[in-house]
This record gives sequence, C-alpha cells and structure tokens, in this order.
Amino acid sequence: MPKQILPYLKQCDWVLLSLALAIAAVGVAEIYSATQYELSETYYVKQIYFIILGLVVLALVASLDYRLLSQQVPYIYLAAVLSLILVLFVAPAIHGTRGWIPLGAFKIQPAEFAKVALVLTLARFLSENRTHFLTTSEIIKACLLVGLPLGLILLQPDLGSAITLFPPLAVGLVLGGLRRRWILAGVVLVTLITAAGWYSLNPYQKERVYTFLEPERDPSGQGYQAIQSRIAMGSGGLLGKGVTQGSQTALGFLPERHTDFIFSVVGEELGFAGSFVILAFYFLIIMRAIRIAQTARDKLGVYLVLGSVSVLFFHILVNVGMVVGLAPITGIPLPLLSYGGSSMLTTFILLGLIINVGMRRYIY
Amino acid sequence: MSAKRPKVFRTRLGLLVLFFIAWSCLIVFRLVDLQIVRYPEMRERARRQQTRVFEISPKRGTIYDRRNRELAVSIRVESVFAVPLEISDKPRTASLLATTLGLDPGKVRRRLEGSRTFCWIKRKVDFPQVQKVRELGLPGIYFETENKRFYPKRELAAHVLGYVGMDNEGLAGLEHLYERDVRGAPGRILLHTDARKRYFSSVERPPTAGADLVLTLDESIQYLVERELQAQVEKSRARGGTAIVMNPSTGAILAMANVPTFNPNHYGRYSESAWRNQAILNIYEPGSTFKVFTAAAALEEGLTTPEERIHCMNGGIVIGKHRIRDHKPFGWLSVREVIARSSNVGVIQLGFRIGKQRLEGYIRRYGFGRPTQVDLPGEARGLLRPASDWHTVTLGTISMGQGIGVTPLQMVAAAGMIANGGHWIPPRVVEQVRSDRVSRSPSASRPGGRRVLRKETAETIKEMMSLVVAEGTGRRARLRGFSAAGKTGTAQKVEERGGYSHTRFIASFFGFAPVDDPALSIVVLIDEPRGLYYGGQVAAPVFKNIAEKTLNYLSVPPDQPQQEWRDDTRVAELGAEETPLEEPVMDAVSWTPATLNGEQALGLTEARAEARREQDLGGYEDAAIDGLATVAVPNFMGKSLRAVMTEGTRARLQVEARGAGLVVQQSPAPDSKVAPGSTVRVRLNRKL
Repeated sequence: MPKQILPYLKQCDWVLLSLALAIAAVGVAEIYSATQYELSETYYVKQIYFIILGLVVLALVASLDYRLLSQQVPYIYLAAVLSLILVLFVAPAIHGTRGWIPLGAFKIQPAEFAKVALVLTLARFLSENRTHFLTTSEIIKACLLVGLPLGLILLQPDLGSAITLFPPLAVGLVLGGLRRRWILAGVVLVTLITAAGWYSLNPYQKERVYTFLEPERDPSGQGYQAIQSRIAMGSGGLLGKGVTQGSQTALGFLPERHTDFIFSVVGEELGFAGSFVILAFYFLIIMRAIRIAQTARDKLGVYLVLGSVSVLFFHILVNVGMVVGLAPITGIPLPLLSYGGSSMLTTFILLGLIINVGMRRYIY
Repeated sequence: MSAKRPKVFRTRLGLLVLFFIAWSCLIVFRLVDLQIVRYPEMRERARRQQTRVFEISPKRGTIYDRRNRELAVSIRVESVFAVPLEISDKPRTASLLATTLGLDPGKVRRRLEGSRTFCWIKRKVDFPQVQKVRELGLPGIYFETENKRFYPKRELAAHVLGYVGMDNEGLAGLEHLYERDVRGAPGRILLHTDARKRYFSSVERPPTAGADLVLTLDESIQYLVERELQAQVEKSRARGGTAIVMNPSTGAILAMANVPTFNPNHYGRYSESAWRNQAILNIYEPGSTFKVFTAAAALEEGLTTPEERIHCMNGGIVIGKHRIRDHKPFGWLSVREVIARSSNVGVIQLGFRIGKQRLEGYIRRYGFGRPTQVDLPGEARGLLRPASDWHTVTLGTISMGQGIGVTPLQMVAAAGMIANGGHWIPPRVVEQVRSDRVSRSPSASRPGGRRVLRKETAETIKEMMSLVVAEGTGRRARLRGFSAAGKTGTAQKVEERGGYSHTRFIASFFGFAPVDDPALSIVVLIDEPRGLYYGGQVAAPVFKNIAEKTLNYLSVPPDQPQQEWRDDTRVAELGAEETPLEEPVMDAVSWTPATLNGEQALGLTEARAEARREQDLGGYEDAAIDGLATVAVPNFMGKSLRAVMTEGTRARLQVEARGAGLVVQQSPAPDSKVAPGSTVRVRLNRKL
C-alpha cells in the first residue's frame, strides 16, 4: 500500500491544504475571542473538533477516486433529497425555519450537504455530455436537478442556503457549453425577474435592500448589523486591536460575531493586515483550485473542481461583501472561518474533492 | 490537458477568473477605505457607542478670606438618577419615588418614559431621603455623588462670592469670573456599555479638584461692614446701601458690602435686584465729594494754591443760559475754604481754569469713566462723556460732581489714590489662586498702579479732607483714637423722567484713616435715606463705626488719644439738631439756598464759627471752665497741617494756620505754657 499511496501524497496539494488550515486556525482564535464572555459554551473547542473531523472527512473524500465517487451520485443525490424532506418534518422550528436535525451533541444541516451532493451530481451530469454545447433538454434536466433540492430548502424556508445552489449550476452551465444566446437570455431573464421581483417584494424586504444601499437610514434596526460590522472593521485600523481585544466584539455590538460576522472580528482584532492576509489566502486557495481544474485529466474532474470552487467562492463573495458593506445581509457563513460544524464539513468535503482531482491528474 | 478543452470553455473560465480577481481587488479597496482611510472615524464611532461617559463633578475650590477662613466650600451630596430601560414597572417606580422624594408622580413618570437610557430623578438630595430611596431597592435607580456648593457664612460677602447653578457652574461673582480655576476638571467614569446598554465595566478617571481662592476680603471686617451698613440702612429706612473698605497702599479690598443682600445658598429665593453687586454696578453722581478731585487737578496743574482767594460771586455764576448758585453767597474764599465750604461757584471757577480736555484727562486718570478692572465680573464703567461732547455748562457741573456717574468702587479706589499720596492702584478681591500644583496671584497679571497726583498735591488734598472730618461736614466721621479724612456728599438722584429729584438722595461719604499713613480707604453710600439724608448725617457715622473697629481689629496704632472725642455723642447730636452736616449739591435751576444755612458749621474764619467750634470741640470747653489748668504748646515745627491740627486739638489748643506745606513758623513758641483753648498761630510753607 505505501508504495501505491506515496505518489498520491506527492501529488496532493499541500499548499492548498495548509492555507485552508491556516485560515481555520485563525478562525479558532477569533471564535475564542468573539465568545470569550459567553460562559455557557466553548465554541472554539467545538470548532477544533469540527476541523479535526473535517480533516478526517477530507482524507476520506480525497482517498476515494472521484470517478468511483461519481458512480455513487444517484444514491448521494437521493440521500440529500431525502434528508431535505426529513428535515421539514423532524427539525424543530428555530426562528420560524427548520434547517437543523439534532443528532446527539451535534446538529446536522442537510442543506449544507445538499451543496456537495449537487456539485457531484452536476459534475457527473455535465461530464456525460460529449459535445461542446448543451442541448435545451440537457439544460432543463440540469435545472430540474438543482430545482428539487432548492425547492425543498425554500420550504424550510432558508433563502440564503437556497441561493448557494445557483453558483454550481450557473458555472456548470456556462462552462459546460451553454450557448451564448442562452446566456444572454439568462441575463435578460434574471434582470426581468429582478425587476418583477422588486415589485412583488414585501415592504420589509424592500426596506432591507434600501438599508443595504444606505445603512445609516436605520442604524438601530435594519442597518444595525451592517453599521456595527463596518465600525468593527474600521476601528481595527491597520494592525487591529489584538486578538481578544476587540471591544466591538467583546461588548456584543456585533451580532452573529462568531458565525456569519467572524470576518469583521478578524478585521477589528487583526486590522487591515490580518483581513488582507486572510483574503489573500482565500485568493490563493481558489487560484490553486482553478489551476487544478485547468490541469484535470477529465471533464468530470474539471466540473467537480469548478463546482466546488463556485460554492466556496460564492460563500466568500457574499459573506465578505456583507461584512464590508458591499453586499446585503444574508445568513451565509464564511468557509473555514465561521463557527459551525456543517459548514466546516462541507468546506472540507469540497476541498477534499478539489485535492482528489488534483492528486489524480497524472496518475492513471 | 487543458489544451484539449474547447476554446469557449477556456475563454469563459478566463472571464470567471477575471471576475474573481476583480472582486478580490474591490474587497481590498474596500478594506483600505474602511480600515485605513476611515479608521479615525470608525474608531471614534466605536468609542462613542461603547462608552457612556458619566462626569463626576469635581470638588469646587474653596474660597477663603485672607486669613484662610472658609467662605465657600464644597460638600458631597447624592443625586438620584434612573436608567428607564432597566425599569419594568414604570408607574409603580414613579409613584414610589415621588412619594419618597416629595415629587410630582406624573412628572417622574413622564421623565421615566421620556428617555431610554438616563434621566435625573432628583438632584442633590438630603441624606435621609437618599437612604429611604436606597431602602426601596428599586431596579434601574442609581445614585451619583455630586458636589454641592455651600456658603457656611450665608449672606456674608454674597455679592463678591456670587453663586453657582445646579451643575455647579459659577453664575455670578467670583464663582463666575474664576470659574475656570475654581471648577476643576470633572472626573469621568467611562462606563463601557454593551449592545444592550448594560454597563459592562468602568474606568474611572478621578476628578481634579478646583483651585482654591484666597481673597483679600477679611471675614471679620466684612461682617462688621455688613452689620453696620445694614443697621444704618434700617435706621434711615433707606432703599439700600453700599460700603467698601480698601487698603489704599495695595488695592486689596477688605470688605465689600451691599444692602439688600441675599443668601447664595438659596439665591433663587431672592429677587434679581438683590443679586446685584451695587458696589461695582451702581452708577451715581458723586456730587460734592467730587469737588476734591477738581481741586486736586487745579493744584496739580499749578493753576491755584490752597491759599489763593477766589471770589465766589456772592452766590451765583452764570454759564450760558444757566445760573448755578451756591447754597449761601460767598465772597472771597481761599481754595481750601472753597472745598471746606463746598462752594459750587468757587469750584466751577477752578474747573474753568483747568478746561474741558485737561479736566477729562484728570478724571480719567483718577479712574472714573472706565472699569477699575477689579477681578469681579460685570463691573460698570461709570458715565463720563468725552470732553468734546461737553457743553460749557457741563464743564461747570462736572467740576462740582454733577453730570458724571461713578461707581462706589471707583470712588474707594480714588480715595485710596489720595490716601496713599497720589498713586492710583487697581482694587482687587482675589489675593491668590491656589491649587496643589500652582499658586498664582491674579493681581500680578493685571496692570499696576499709576501716579496721578504729585505727593504734595495729594498731601494738600488730604489736609483739606481731614479738616472736613475734624471740623466740617464730616464731623460724625471722627474716630476715637485715630485721625481721619474724608468728604461728604449728598447727591440728588436723577428722576426717571429726567431732572433731579428733590426727595430722593444718595448720601455718601468717602475717606480714609489714619491720615498720615492710611490703612483704610472707605466709601459708604446710603441709597434714598428717609428723614436725615445728608451724607454727613447718614453715611459718615457708618464710616466712623467701620473705620474705628477695623483699625483696632487690624492693630493699627492709634494716632489720637482715645478720649479725644469723649463727648462725641453730644457733638453728633448738636450737629444733627442745629447744624446740618451737609451741603447738598446745587440744582442749577431750583434749589433754595435758604434750607442750607447750616453751612456756617464749617466756620473756619468767622468769629461766629469760631464760637461754634468751641462748642463742637466740647472737651476743651470744659477745660476752659476749669480755668486753672495750663497746657504746654507742642512743637509744631516741620509738621504738616494735619499733624498740627490733630496735635493741637489733642493739646486742647486752637490752631490758626496760614500757607500750605509744613510749619515754618509757630507762635507761641514750643513748650510755652498757655491756657487751654488758646490759639496757636502757625505759618506753613512748601519749602522749609
């Protein structure tokens, strides 16, 4: 076995893994900092367990050849859909949504794994297309594949998670050979839906958009999170206040500080330097992943990596955008940094897939 | 591998990567903007929302008198405030607080509902009440220790000290003027609040106590002055009064009192008029007292000598359309007599010799028509129009003290100027601003004195003024054991509708004692006395009481025998019954001299007056009746007229003096034995 494993280990993208672990380590420190005054739970310890668990899962995912993995796609897809159905009946309603299945000490968020399942499903589906372009029926099929779990997630309802299913679909279709007129049509369609949607939005949803555009109009209400996040980031300055020294964080001005807004804790405590380095790490991870996609040995590998990248990138884009005030507030966590087991496992699985494809580029 | 990918794929992937890079750049720009460009703004916003600053009022500096006796102190009291956010049952809390603290329940409730985070319930609460509120144990109700100003001596020096508002801010007097020094730096409790406005932790910055003030005021003298002034105001049923005592050689105000006064602990209970420090605000016409200054200017300019005889036109002088009369027709009078008898016509002639410009210059140098720059807030400048605005008649009236407005403080400073030999020294109230770190004397930073009159001129004026006390209208200002000099004044008040009142007067006296080396200059004003209203009757006795007791208190060695005026009361009564002690200022139009025939009381040369003087100097009369005793004539050689006069009277001798300056000739010779009451003639000259 060692003889067989060694070449794979040599091809494993250790840099990518190290970058991911570095971010996760910073995340542990910042979660510790953000929750240091909460006596009831030790989030950072749990986060360490999640990371260890994530590494184990990553190793598992990376060790199985992705081609073998793709053969299991129908079952994986089915399991995901079933768990999404299950969650609607089993999960207790928290803040009016049912997203979490309690399982012993942990809670499982099926929507997270649905992302992985969908990345795998779409990769397999697109890789089976022999031509350079997608037919209309293929496009519809792809949409339906995504539409089923998406609809179930919307039933929870969890708009934030539902949106994250779009990027793998969009990236897959665009790269998989969607004809230009379809792309244009899609753009037009999205524009029309946006316009139509605007008029059908509830006033409170409109208010949320207004508030995103101008948070100061409601500093203690809708704009509160956005403003507090900016204040936290900005007051960090160049070098930050130091870990555990962030007053915005410690004093509870930042909501969701250890989960969705962990990046503003980084900004406050590690300053511009810290947030820039974290951002650079994400950038390098994604660029390395794209490099793997470009060098992948088959279409399945390409779509697996790019699907995974699209999910990760979309999370980073929306979350960081939200924290720095360039995107509206949505409940989307930051991969590797935010506290949360499901998010952490999902991220490591996706990284595992990327590494998996990367390891098997030259080895048959 | 990648070469096998279709071109479309590669371009599209390239576009996606480009989008990714663009996004990354955007985020970095945003980070630069937030964390570097707008860092100060964001840091400030964070600080603002994370800290609630509670100011702890600093201990206000103590105000001491010149002997370190406390006049104003700071005591610690508690104030009750609420954090309404933490109160669930507001109506109940409101009603409990209201009944405990004696407040209106509705108001308390509105306050609780009006604010989310903070509102005062009651400031500066008595200790027992605070204890009761504590015992209620209400949530969201807190206590803050504050400092409260307390004036232990109540009304004492109220106008000088001033008072403070609810937030310990000095609103009047020294409290106001020295606010920056006395207030101190407030301490700060930085309450770190969390997002739910719960107090998280606190950093305390202790308050810095304000600097103490040490005043020139002397509590004992101030008390005495207030008591004497109050007594006289009551006795003469006057509207009010002012008295100021100053050390003429330093400008230090030892006492400054006004009636009506107020208790600064409860200043709100008094009318605004009671808060006014009339000593620096009241502008009045000095009247006859001012003639001294006109004469001084003429002497200083060499335009006359004390002996020069001026014809007083038999009672009236016509200036333009106006005719100004004397209360009594005078013929030839020496300048000395012009002052002593208070001849309007005489002094007007001196005024005309000086001329508008020069007279104005002198008046301004005496310190009139501009603030003395005493360290009290809001000092009035008085009224003095520039000479270019004077009509011819104005020159005349100003010479005799009409058409000019002065403040009591300007007057006491001017008295000090004459007393100390011609040096005008700015009056001051604060000796020292004293704190842990620094101690400074505010007078050091203020303009120093200035020479206004030559010493000789001042001495001459002093002699004239001591005669006013010794024998003239100011006799009631004579002191037991001390020589004194002064000038009385009775000014008609100006009616609202214009013109001078015939019924409302300001009786005043200004002077100094002892004459040779004055320790005090004093001004006393009685506003609208009823019954007796002459300065010599109403104000001079106050001067006497204040000066006598203050000089003894200050251990100034007496320069006169204690028994000098042992039948002083009799003299005073005589004065009151038979010889009015004052010559009111003449109203140019309508005054009737007939009412003023008492002016003979001055009697310097006439035989009639001579006889009266015998009465006045009663002690000597008794001795004369004894007939057996003889007295030795003292040696007057080289002494000043004032010294001669005082020593002469002490020796029970009459003195007839000619000339000015120092004695150069004396008859009979020193040590001759003569009968008590004999006349000694002396000649004085400026140069020995």
